[in-house]
Amino acid sequence: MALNRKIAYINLTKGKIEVKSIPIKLRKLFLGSRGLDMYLMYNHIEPGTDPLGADNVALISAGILVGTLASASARTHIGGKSPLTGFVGSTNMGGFFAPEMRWAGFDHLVIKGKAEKPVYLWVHNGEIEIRDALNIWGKDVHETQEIIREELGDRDIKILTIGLAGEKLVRYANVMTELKNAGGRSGMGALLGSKNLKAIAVRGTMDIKIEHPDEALEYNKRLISQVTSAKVSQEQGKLGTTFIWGATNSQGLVRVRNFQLNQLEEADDIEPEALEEFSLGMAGCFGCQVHCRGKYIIPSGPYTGVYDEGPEYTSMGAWAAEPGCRNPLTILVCNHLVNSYGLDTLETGSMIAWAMELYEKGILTNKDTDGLELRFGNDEAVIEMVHRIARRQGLGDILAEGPLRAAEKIGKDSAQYLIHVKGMSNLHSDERPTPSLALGIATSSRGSDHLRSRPAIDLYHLPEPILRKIYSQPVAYDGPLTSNFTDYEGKPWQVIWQELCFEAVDCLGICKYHTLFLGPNFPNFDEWSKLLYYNTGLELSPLDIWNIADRAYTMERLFNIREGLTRNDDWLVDRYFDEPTKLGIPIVRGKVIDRDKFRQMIDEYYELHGWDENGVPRPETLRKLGIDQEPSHML
Amino acid sequence: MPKMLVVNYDKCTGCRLCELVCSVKHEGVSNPSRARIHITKWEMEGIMMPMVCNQCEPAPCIDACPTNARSWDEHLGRVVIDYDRCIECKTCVAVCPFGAVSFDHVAGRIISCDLCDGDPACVNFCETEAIQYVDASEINKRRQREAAEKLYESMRKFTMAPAG
Amino acid sequence: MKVIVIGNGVAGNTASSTIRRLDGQAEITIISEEIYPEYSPCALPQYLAGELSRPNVFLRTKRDYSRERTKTIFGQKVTSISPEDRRVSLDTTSLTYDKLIIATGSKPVMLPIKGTNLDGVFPLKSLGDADQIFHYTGNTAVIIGSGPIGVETSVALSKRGLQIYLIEVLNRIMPRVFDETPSSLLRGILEERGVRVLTGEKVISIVGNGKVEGIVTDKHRIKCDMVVLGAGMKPNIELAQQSGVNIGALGGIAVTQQMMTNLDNIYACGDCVETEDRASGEHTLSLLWHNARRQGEVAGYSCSGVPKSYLGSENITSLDIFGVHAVSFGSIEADGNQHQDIEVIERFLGKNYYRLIIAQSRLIGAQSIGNAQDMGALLCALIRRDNLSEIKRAIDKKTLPLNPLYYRIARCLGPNIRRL
Ligand SMILES: Cc1cc2nc3c(=O)[nH]c(=O)nc-3n(C[C@H](O)[C@H](O)[C@H](O)COP(=O)(O)OP(=O)(O)OC[C@H]3O[C@@H](n4cnc5c(N)ncnc54)[C@H](O)[C@@H]3O)c2cc1C
Repeated sequence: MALNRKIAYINLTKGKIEVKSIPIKLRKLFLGSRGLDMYLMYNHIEPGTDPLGADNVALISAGILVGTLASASARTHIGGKSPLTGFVGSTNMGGFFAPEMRWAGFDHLVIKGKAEKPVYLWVHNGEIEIRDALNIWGKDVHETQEIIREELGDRDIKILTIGLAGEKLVRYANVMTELKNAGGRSGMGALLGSKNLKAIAVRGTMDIKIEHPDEALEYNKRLISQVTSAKVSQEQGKLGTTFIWGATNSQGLVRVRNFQLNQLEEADDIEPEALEEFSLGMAGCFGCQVHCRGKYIIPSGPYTGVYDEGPEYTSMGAWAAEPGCRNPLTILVCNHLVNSYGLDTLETGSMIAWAMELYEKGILTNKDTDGLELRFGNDEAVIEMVHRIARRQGLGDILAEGPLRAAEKIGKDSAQYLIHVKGMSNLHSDERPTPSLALGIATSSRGSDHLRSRPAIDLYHLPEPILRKIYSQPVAYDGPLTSNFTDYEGKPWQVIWQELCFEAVDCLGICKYHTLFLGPNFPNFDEWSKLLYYNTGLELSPLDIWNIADRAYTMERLFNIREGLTRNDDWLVDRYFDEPTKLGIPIVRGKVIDRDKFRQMIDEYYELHGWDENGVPRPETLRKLGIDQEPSHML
Repeated sequence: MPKMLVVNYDKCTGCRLCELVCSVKHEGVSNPSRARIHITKWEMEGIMMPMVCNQCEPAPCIDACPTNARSWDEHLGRVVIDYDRCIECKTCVAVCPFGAVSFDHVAGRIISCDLCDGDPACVNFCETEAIQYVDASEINKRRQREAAEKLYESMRKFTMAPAG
Repeated sequence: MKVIVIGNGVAGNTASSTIRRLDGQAEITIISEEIYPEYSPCALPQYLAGELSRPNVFLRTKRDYSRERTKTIFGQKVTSISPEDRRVSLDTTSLTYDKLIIATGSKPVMLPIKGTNLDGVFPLKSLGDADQIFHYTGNTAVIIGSGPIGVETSVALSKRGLQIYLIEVLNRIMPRVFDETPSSLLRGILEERGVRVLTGEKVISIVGNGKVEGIVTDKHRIKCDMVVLGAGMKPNIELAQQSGVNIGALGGIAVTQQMMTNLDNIYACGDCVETEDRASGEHTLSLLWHNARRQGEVAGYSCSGVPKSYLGSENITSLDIFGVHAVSFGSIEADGNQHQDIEVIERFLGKNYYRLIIAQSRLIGAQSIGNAQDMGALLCALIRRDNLSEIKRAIDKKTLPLNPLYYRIARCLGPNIRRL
């Protein structure tokens, strides 16, 4: 059955591998993937561990519904202590790696220690082998995968790998699979790099038994139409996630020139519809009918003829709006470069835009940039900086350290221009007009982030009764809810709801675009309860799943607190409060976040979570969730 | 009129849901290695090609089967296999131009598309209509041939050429 | 029209069924010296291994013949043909015909060694042979000759629990279908399962007192209870030859592309004929099931006055050796007739192995061990005599529509494609 996948502990220092079963008790507490990884993180990583030291632990996992008939059940989770933030490191990617890992018999890999020489793991049908990676060390993400497939002799092998950026310990290096599927945030690529672990290759032909195949097939069919009938899915299936950038830019909800503006004007050439010109059609992740991965070939310039996939929403911000560029080619090229270097497109773009503002302000000069004119709108400079960061050359070496460390090195008042939370750069969106989204990024457990909690449907002006219907299940909620996204009332609950919604799907291994994220009619707790039953036989009510998500999210909080997190870390940079938005539609123009109201929101958010005013989970909350004895070392 | 599967390679997004539903429907498990359809991929070039039995007529797998275990089912227009006769020499696997015949290592038997007895699951689940189930009319057959660039047909049809 | 078919193998039966399909009136008689309705010799190893029940070896029942209104005379040998008065003589009777189809198949090559008459020495060609082996008791068997049949028999008897010695006079097993490297890989698989493989070793005699007790080679003496002769098959042509039918240079009946012999109204098909190889165009004895069947079909057509042309034989070997799939198409590098400049592309893909034999940009042979999913595409290219450089160009240029078969071929080639 789908619950019999194993966990493997791989000690790279000792070259030892131990395989264990996952007790059903833990399944019922944490389901799997991100949830269970958080348990493992709390249990296996000592407080104060150096994120790039041998004592950090890399966790690779597949959701409990991955590979089953839960639509878009493709997600791989990668966890560990973040080299970027020092808090929870956690990232999630699509593609085909996770299902293959499950067919190979595993749900969780716990990777400890550090290999003496570069290695990769070969995971196949219940077996794990540590193999020499000398010949792929230094190779880019794409080459690495081809070489391993050739070496192991099977084109259907799926590979998770780091690029040069991960090897060079760029603190926001990605873990990648295929061309563009990226475990992008929180520097998990550097974590693997620090362990001398280049890649993990998986291939499996072991059955995952579907408990109720007929029902599962039928239900899958229903969910597919539920998802694909939504207009957002259709747009996404045509344009990829760039369509979100187009839509939000038109309102003035994006970030331009390192937060100096909130709308990119004269963006016709890079509107999603314009980018469609370069599209070769769309690709999908495992089992997904939305197919939002664009395919393109770079049409001209030094990279002519190179095939890659994307770009995504974040690459629009990173390679156009933030550096103030308007050339589609720059987007396609940079997107390709970060994919093959294995760099987080968001963080890389943010660091470059930040450096550009510093250059503009005279904090960085030609001396610092080795003569590179790091002006906004200088496409060449942007491309060059990507190379330098990945290779840690010159200024790139400093930027590779991530926002806080780089600001410390550059000094002066460079830190004041950072757009980050907990040392991780913000999404290239502007949350000043949207307190709910602002609260989401401020409280996110892995640093500023839109994929921990983003109640994006807040932007839809949904009537209150609909909001109430959504947000009053699976637990009752009778507090305020408003249709206006500029409001502060009721938003903390929306943030929590979305937070647990995302936590739950990350445990299940389902894509967030198949949840109540961009549309009010998408699947959520109810549907997942049925999916779990039909596919795995596990009987968990929607409320049970909610509680599991709550438990897992609280574990993340516990981990962060143990690493020294305080209330002050759940906060935005001053510019959110002090500089009003300048552009956009009337309702978003002239907006800042109100400090006091935001503080109140955070109080309310803590309270609803059962955390005290410092953001520390109360003992009774932990007791209620059954995690008052952690670390409990059950696995 | 019997119906046939037509693959439109351009429309395939490579999601492999067809493989999944195929293995669930036939074996009750998720396991693409036991599916009757496979998407052959060239990830680094973005090429995805669903490969499934073309129900060729005449079929190289039937032609080469040394025990007559493979035969033609007029009613559904498909190649069927008689497991009592099959000796697992895997000649059918080796001669299929589409790589669409495989050996199910769990059940220990040869498998290839059986059109789900007339209600193919892969088609039901493929939203992009990369796989369709259409009348086996001459037009559709021709279209299918064109899709695969006539390769197979041109090779086999003339195993016996009209004399002259 | 009175048609007589000599031989109840796949060639004879396909010919007779084809005639029946085209001509409801024809009076068809199939004669066989064996007593059984049609069966597949290819299934005999699996029958020996105990993996296939005896009834499943049969392809037809007696009733199938009567349903097709085909008369059968089983258990009688045709002793002569007189083309002048269109008559065939059997052991006990004689019959006349309008058209005659000779489908007498093949017979085992007998070795010029002492002791082949001993009890416990068997060929493996017919169901009768298999039955005898099946019921013979013993612990150790020697298989002489390591062609595909010898190897399949070794596997089968080994699965029955016998200790097997497989002896090959040349320096590798299946020397006609696999080159050195794949052959030694396959040898490894046999040895891993306990089959003792002796190559470069010649059997000199079989010894025993009435019953096999052992064999003597130029290097060893081996005790055994049973010997299976697997030295190959040759066309069974004596009957035809005696009647004035022309025999080709390779020892098979000479036929036209319409399966006609030199004598009026006499056709021949199956293992007893020699043909052209479809890929190489050279004369060949390709004693394989699918070729026999197609020849039978063409003979049937010709007989019924619908001339069709046989386009040539395809050399396809596919066998399962303890779960490992071994395939060979076309020519091998070590083929003695090879006179062209040959390039060999060899590829180890994990546990899988591919070997492509290329001459003048064209694939003339392919061998694989393990996954053979892409071999069909190679077979296509081989038979169509595709120019591989053009395939490479199409792939490089991404010519649309994408030709899936090209990609499969390229997949086999891997990085070697650059060498084309
Ligand atoms: C053990 C074994 C395994 C094989 N495996 C494979 C395989 O995996 N794949 C493959 O392609 N090929 C295989 N072959 C070869 C294949 O079986 C032959 O190519 C095929 O059977 C030839 O068919 P045929 O009709 O030409 O001749 P045969 O099957 O040899 O039939 C000849 C018929 O003629 C009859 N006959 C002969 N002389 C007379 C006479 N004078 N009077 C009356 N009747 C006569 C015989 O009784 C017999 O019925 C295998 C062969 C053997 C023995």
